[in-house]
Amino acid sequence: MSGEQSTVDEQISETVNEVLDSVSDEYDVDEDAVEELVTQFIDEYGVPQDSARRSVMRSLAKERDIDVPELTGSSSGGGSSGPTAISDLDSSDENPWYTVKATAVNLGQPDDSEHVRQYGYLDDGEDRIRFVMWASGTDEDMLLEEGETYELESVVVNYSDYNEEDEVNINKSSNVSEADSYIEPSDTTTEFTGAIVDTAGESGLVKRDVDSGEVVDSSHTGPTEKDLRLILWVDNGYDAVRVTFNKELTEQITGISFEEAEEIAADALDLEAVIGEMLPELLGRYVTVRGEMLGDYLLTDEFDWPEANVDVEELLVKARALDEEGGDN
Amino acid sequence: MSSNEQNDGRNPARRAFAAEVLEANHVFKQGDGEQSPKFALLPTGELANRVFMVGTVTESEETDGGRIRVNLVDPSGEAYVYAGQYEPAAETTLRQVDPPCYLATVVKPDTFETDEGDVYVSLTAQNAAVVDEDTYLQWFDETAEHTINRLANLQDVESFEDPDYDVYSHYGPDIDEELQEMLVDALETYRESN
Repeated sequence: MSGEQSTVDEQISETVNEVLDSVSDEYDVDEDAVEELVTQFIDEYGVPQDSARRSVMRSLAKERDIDVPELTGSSSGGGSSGPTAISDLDSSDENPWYTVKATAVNLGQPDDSEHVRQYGYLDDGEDRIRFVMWASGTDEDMLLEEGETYELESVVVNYSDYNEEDEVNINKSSNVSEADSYIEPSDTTTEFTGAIVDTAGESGLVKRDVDSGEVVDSSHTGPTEKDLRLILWVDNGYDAVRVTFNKELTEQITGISFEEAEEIAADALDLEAVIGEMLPELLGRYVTVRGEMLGDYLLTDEFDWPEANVDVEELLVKARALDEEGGDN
Repeated sequence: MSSNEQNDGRNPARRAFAAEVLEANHVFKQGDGEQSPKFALLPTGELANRVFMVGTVTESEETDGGRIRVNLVDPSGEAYVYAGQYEPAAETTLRQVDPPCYLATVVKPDTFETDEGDVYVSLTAQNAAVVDEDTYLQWFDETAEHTINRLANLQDVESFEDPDYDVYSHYGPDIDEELQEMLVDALETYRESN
């Protein structure tokens, strides 16, 4: 039903404008011809807007005996190679090769893959997209640096079945250089308010493997070090989100310092005693957290305790008005 | 620490007043597996695998079966909340409760049948904590808002594809009016006492 929101005329004029906007200035395009073609696709044949736009682009490119990236000026082979906005990257494009200008963020390197050298996100200030840099055929020394802005030519956008979203592939045909200007990455901070309803993973005083940094249980052999952290379910009645607190934030939110936590564990001869002491102060309370989503986890940067503000008169007005809209009584 | 849901999404704890939760005696499993979650159909039309409730504990008592039971009161009514050996964290908290005090608890709704064949709602605490008045007020505000939203949505529903969602067949043709009355009464009760 949502597809019916705009009228056919609106769809046509929108698509015409998209086509005209995306054609590079160096090519003259007959506006009436474009409109006629778009109308034919959308009105007569009921082609979806996206497909209509792509078909028209291909037909315009064909007329000039060039390919679509050259027509839009995004082809790396062509003279003018303006970058494509990340929101416009689309793996279902006929020719999903692009030039992207973006800042590299949240970088990582797999230690178990010979094929992938680096992964992370590209952020053009408006949107971000995952990227993968393949080892094969790319320069051995090539690694993007966190927070640096790059111009990435001839990257391919593929749909990743694994991540279930489009991602940028930097491969042997790609050309990566430092950009002449810096792009401030977009603000991806998430805010969530809800009640703390449970723990969502090992919390309190935990042991980490010294080498891997991973939280391990008591059966773990090898050197470990203690750390404080919380992973909590915060629930607003519609969604439940896993929210993490690092050592410093755990000390803040519980009022229990790392040293005190160690004492509690030592007195009880049990690490679990620490979360046992923390939970009664946390459970059931409403908290507002702000931070980045990483996968399923919200990594808290800051939190505060919201205050109650009950406007019972307003609630009564809403509650009494309910049956007036119902219509059946 | 509940552990079996850590790798999946988690069913949110719905916000509902005691009076609504106690009416929710249509409880069913979603899926065929032994571990498939159970849901109560709230009379406002929402499915609840768990419910987050806050109220005043007025009494606590050991049951004949060795479990602990508390009376949880909110402006809509009063519910019994239970915990036993299978809910050790909640049981510990409920046994330490010193009424009267505010308690927040996540409960799993289920039903039991009396010898006469009547089906009642039972609420088992998964965890619980004593909270302050401000938390109670936040919960009250939020629960009123959520209930209003559910009722407003319910009035837009023309038919139920899934019979498990059909509140009118489970709770009677006038359930939306009864719920609205419950809600207005609860808000007026709150207004008188605050």
